Amino acid sequence: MTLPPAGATAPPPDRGAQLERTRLAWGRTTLAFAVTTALAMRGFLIGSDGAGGADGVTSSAGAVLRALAVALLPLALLAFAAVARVRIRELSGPVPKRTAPPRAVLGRAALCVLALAALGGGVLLW
Amino acid sequence: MIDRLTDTLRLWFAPRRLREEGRMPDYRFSLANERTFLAWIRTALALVAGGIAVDQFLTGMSRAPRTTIAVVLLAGGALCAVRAVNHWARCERAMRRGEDLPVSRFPALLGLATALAALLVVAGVLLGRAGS
Repeated sequence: MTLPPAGATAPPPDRGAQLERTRLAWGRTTLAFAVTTALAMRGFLIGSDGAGGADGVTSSAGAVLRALAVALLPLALLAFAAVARVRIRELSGPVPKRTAPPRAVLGRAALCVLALAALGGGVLLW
Repeated sequence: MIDRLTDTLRLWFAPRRLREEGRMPDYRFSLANERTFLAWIRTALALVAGGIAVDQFLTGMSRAPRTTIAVVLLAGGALCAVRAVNHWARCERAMRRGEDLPVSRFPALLGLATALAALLVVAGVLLGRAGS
């Protein structure tokens, strides 16, 4: 690493770096959410024995619940991605005056994760 | 203990209270707090994925222990998601007030619980292999 010439001032701090890191963190988290959603949907559609859903359930109620879970899982992902998208946009451009998001935004994101856990757990319960 | 509970409830449900309190922290600290929140969310997602995977792929295990481990992992994921919001709010408030950041035993407990779950899965896989 070369030293700056004597008398040179330090380069200005990259004020955008923290914003970019946070944007990337939201992207990483959305990706993790998508992968988990895909795994949950696989569980409902293919299941552990290839027959789909939970091991030999043939009742129509079970089929309805399974269809419902498959329909709701992408919605949870979309909801999370929507929160992430808004937040990423807020963090783009120059340093905003108020950088902390309102608590409700993060609460919504966490709720999406809870919904995912509940839907993913649904496959276990019948 | 009760104080902590009412404090947490107030922190969760008091509208706008957090934003008006104290001084706005350095933006880098706020963003770091937000990234920590997202890291906890990713931890929660990993636990949820682990629970789903245990149920889907450990077919060698019998139903009851497999479902138990899966439910424990899913519950752990839900717990981490809740903790993410709680910890973020408490840190934000501490930064605004100029206090020390809150300490917690949660990470250590989570580490132990995850190690235990992993060992149980290993045991389940080996016993399942041995049984078949």
